[in-house]
Amino acid sequence: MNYNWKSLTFKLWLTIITAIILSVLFAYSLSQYYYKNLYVEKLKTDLVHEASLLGADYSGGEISDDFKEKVEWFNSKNESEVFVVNNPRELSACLPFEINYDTLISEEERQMLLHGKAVEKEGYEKRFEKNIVAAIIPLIDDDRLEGIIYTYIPVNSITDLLKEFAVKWLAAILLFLIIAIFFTTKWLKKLISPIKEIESAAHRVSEGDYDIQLQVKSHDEIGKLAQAFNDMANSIHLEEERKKEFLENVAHELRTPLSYVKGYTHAILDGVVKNEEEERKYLQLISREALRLQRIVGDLMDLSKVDGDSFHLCKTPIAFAQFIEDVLAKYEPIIKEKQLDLIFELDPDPIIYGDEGRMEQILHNLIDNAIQYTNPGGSITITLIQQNEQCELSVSDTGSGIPKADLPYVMNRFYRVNKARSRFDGGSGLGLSIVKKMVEWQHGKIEIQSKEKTGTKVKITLPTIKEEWTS
Amino acid sequence: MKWGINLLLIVLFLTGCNLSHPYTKIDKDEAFLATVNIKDTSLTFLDENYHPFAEWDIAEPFTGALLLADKDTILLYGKEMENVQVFSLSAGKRIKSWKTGKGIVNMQLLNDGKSIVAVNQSDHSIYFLNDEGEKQEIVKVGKSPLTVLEGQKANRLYVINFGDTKCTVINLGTKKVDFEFSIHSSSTGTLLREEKDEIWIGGHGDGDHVEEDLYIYSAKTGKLKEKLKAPTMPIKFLESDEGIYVLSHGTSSLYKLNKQYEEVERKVVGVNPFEMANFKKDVVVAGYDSDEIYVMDANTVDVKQTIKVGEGPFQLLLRE
Repeated sequence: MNYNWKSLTFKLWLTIITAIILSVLFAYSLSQYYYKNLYVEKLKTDLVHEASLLGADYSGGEISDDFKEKVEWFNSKNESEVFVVNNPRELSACLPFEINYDTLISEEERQMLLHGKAVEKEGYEKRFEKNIVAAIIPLIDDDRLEGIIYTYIPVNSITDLLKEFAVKWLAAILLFLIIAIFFTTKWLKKLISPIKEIESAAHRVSEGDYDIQLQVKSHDEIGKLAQAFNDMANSIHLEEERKKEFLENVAHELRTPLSYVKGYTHAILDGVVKNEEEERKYLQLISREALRLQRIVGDLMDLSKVDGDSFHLCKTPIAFAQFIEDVLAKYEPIIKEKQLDLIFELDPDPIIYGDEGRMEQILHNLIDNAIQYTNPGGSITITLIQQNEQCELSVSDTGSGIPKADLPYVMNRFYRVNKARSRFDGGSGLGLSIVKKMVEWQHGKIEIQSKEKTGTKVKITLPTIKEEWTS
Repeated sequence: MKWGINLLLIVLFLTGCNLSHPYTKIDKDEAFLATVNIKDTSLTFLDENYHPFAEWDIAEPFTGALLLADKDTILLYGKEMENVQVFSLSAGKRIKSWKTGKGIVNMQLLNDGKSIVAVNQSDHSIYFLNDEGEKQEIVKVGKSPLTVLEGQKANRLYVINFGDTKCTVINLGTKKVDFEFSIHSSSTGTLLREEKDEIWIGGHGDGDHVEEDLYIYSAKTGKLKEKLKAPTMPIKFLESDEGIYVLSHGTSSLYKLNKQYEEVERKVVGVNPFEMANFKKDVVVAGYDSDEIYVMDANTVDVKQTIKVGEGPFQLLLRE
């Protein structure tokens, strides 16, 4: 075991081995205890039974020589020592007198025997100079203790047996421990190896190697940990990719207007401009690109706000239909200019609890998009309906629509259907992702349905005030 | 604090009550037979019809009792007792105690009705006490004296030493040892027949040997005169007009002998009996293990009546 003392493997190994050793020791002591007790108890019961069977032959009166001979014969054939005693001196019959003699039975035992009870003994017996397990049964005739049947087994034989048992036990335990240690070590190695793999993989991930994938071999906690680790590595990888892509997008988005600003500014400064009218035209272009930069920076700031925890909403009850109408009023000139047809059908009931500024930003984004992608002669339809405790706002247009392949990604940051990113077609690519975040912040949902060359429909579901108050 | 003092007072009051624990009063004129029960340290009093009428439960480890000449005062003694306790039967209470020290195993009232002999096994001596319990004389005897017998004619006291193999004979006049003679060991149970110059001595036997004989020695010389078979462990003798009774506790046997020491009756009686006495015209035997006394016809030695008494009746006390 070439393991670090502080390692989990060593700790587990130590715990298991300690548990095994403790269990074995406990089992050994318990077995010794029970073996001894059960064995001795059984022995006592057997001895009492044996003596009682012999005692059953006693028919009363003085104990006959015939009876003694019978017991002697039994003794010669039997493993335990059995004998009859009818000497009153041995039976403590003289006890009120202080006779200078160690009687075979004590006064207490005599009293028990007089009451017809068998006496069981265990321990050192001076008379036999050895440890014994003994049973004594009385031979009673008309309340008189005529004699006793004394039967015993030297306890040395039991301890010998226990010693033999202990030797075998210890040998078996030793063998068992060696096998247990061997298999525990093997098994722990197998158990711990995936953790070690995860550890080295984590090191590699920390060094920037996100491609690493662990092989999931089991379905236990460690298998699940490996799976989770793989998922985590994938997520980090993806996030890293997205970050890279995002930065690229940001740089790209900023570079185009900056190039314009730089180009036109240089043209003016270098005197390439022929006349005032041309200069004004250039300055207008510079101004438009500056506005575009401003919008991109604004969107990025919004995005960083809605992404973080510091995004604060100033919620107030809003009569949603009136609010939409007010926003639409601002768009009337543009719609007219672009020769679009605006249809709106607004249910006056829904009152939402939201941030007016953010709601206006959402509407602007959606309507801007609808106007931008709808050709002259097309129509924009805005509806608001109450649905149970929610309201559904839909903004649909008869514009160019979104290709099916792009539809799942249109709300990703900087995602553009038109990859060319012309400055006339398409915004920053952040609008819809900001809208999505803002809707979610206000506990709403957003869904986009679109068909190429037919039109797009954006549905926003928001909780109305009733639900808001009660929730 | 206050209740503590009250509790102390109550305890003292109760303890005070115990000191003069009142027992059933025994009428001065009433004849009785009492058993000294050493297992539960009690006295059971039976009237002339053998009806138990009083039970004295004594909180002392006493092993024997002696009725004094006034027929009302009894002395309770025991080897483990520091004092001999003096009780009045008619008052039903302890009246005083005599400081004798531990070791008293037997007490005997001498024929003068005043002198009391106390056998002390602790210092192997005989105390001669007056009727106030004051030691008058102390005579050293053999090892572990137990039984004493007064020879009125010879004015001698025979002391059987249980732990020794000799009998010490004390001159009651001089309170000196007259002579000693050899006897068998673990001797107990005696009968003095001065007119026949006999002292009968029984015993338990020695070691694992069970005594089967009783020994008759010369009361004057101590010479062994005769041995009689009385299996096993003869430990009590009783002589009456009917004959001589021998009680052997080993086989719970009672032998009745005629004047020629021939066995005329033999009965198994009681369970491990140690004590026997003549009460009225009956022979009464106490069964130590059975906690009973057996009233027997003196002639036929048939058991007429069995009466349950306290635990371990070891001695009989008579007042007739």
